[in-house]
Amino acid sequence: MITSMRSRAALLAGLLTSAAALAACGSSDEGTSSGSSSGGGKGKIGVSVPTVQGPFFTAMLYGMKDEAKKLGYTLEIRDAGGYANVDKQASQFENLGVQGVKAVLIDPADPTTLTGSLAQVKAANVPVVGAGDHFPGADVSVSSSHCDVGHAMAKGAQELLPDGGTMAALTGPAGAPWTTDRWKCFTDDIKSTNIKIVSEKASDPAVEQGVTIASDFLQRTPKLDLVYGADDTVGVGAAKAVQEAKRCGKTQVLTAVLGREAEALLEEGCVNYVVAQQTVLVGRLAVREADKLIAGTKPPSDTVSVPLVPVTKDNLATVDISKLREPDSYKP
Amino acid sequence: MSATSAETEADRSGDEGDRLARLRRIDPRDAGLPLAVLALMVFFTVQSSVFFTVANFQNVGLQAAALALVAFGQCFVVLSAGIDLSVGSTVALSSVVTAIVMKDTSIPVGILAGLGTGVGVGLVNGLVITVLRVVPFVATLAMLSVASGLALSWSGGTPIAGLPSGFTKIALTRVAGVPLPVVIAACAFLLGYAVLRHTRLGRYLYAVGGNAEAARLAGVDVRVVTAVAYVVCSFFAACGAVVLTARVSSGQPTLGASLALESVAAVVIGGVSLFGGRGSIVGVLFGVAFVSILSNGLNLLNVSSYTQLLILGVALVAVIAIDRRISRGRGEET
Repeated sequence: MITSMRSRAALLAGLLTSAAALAACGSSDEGTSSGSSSGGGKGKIGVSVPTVQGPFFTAMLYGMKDEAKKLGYTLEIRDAGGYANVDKQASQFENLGVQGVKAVLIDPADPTTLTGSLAQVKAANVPVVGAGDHFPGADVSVSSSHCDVGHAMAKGAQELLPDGGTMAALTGPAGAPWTTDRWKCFTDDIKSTNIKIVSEKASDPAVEQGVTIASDFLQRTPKLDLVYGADDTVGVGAAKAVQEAKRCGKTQVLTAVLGREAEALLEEGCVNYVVAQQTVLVGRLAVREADKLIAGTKPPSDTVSVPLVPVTKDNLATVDISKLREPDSYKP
Repeated sequence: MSATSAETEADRSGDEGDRLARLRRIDPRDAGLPLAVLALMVFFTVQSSVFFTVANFQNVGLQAAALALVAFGQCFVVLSAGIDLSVGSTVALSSVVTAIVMKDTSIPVGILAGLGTGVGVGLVNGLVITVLRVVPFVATLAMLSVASGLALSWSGGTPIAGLPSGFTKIALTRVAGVPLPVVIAACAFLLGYAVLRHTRLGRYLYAVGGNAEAARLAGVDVRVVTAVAYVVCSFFAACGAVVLTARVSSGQPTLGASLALESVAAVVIGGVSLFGGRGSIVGVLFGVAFVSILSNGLNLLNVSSYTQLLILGVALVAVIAIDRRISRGRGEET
């Protein structure tokens, strides 16, 4: 009895130790909730993001880390694990406020739910910088507004379909402000054109869902002229569906965020217009604004608007990818 | 279903003279779900001019293949009175491993590595459940977290693109007009059917699910049978991962996130009891067909996303309620 209990306890201990070792080996800045990058002596800057996954956040966090290293800060990154975890982000944001960081950079999943936390953090005299999304009430926000992305995508749609045509839309995660703003400003501009939206569906920002939904839409409208993908997860999925249906160039694909897959598909002609955000630059500028705030400088306005870059196959060679995306060799 | 009646029924199938008994097993009350699938198909054919076409069925098959593979595996586990919540993360981890290994070596080695990952995950699940005696819900929930964390760590949180084009062709190849992923799922179905109906392992699985203690007393090694069920489940999930990874031509650390719940839904709709020991993989096949056709049809009709969620929930409950009503109405056999 005792022997079997002891051996069971030993087995359990062994398993827990290996699990801990595995977690330690596998952990990275983003994988753990208390990631920090080695750096200098100017102190810590807290970073709160809804998720660390995906091309957008990988690029933005790279920009932040690199700039922080240059300026001599270390970063404490907190990952809420998903756009739906607004309460978790609120807690992480508040915790950063009391952990002695010099400033907090935050990409709010939903700015309206974080106003209370914002008040708390500001009451502790910690400067707050919105990064990637506009955060009303923060000292300054560095972003490309999603409405501007929507307008730019509408411009792209009109360039791709000057005489109008049929369009299907993969609008991204339902209820997320970034998708609703983007879509609203896009549709406002499209209303006056001959582009008709024949199908529309929200989904998770997942490539395989993009493939499934887009192939169903292509079934529904075999001679579809254009597919709108809210960002390059569903956008890439839509392009693959177009590829599967052998309609590259005939059914054009419009999306935002120039991830590697999107770029490769752009070169193949299966993605036709990408509204790229200068995501790495957003990360860098956010850290620079935090640095200025820590030094006591008041920002001239509460918004630093980072311009968008429309990318097609023709101008791809002239685009400065280093501002859009992390280097290929980078592993977070 | 008790261990002894499982044995008797299986013996009956082998009995040459007992054709009547076999006919009796194809019971009108088992027709609930297939009829529901048929009704769905009729409805969508009427409502949409593009539903009942070869191209659309090829599409649906392609979309359903991965879910089918995962659901067949889940069937094994649920029959043993367990559950595997980690299948989604297993798909993600297998996808990442397949991609990483494939880029450095070759397509077959990459695929083997992915499948091996599935077997490994299943082994750990099986051991944690049988040796450490952690209940399946908790054990597989923990594995969900571990596998997901590993997938994200090893991939750096971003997709691993640049896979050889020969691999991605798996998703595009057709065998006599049937997409290759559908052929793979069909083979998995036949394999699962054969194991569950015509092998001792299958009989033991039903026995363990129906009444583990009685099975143990009857001489069945419950721990081995249970562990094997989880290995089979994760292996099938890894097969699903290979198919999905080929379809999106990249290793994705968040692939298949919704598959855990979807596979359980397909299994339950298919008539497999969550308490174990009862049900058939044929039912699961119809469960997968129901869910996939419903989703495809609603997309073809451009029903709004929010309404689709509502319809899916209502349809789920309706199908199961009607199916159970038919069973209870005719009197259930134990």
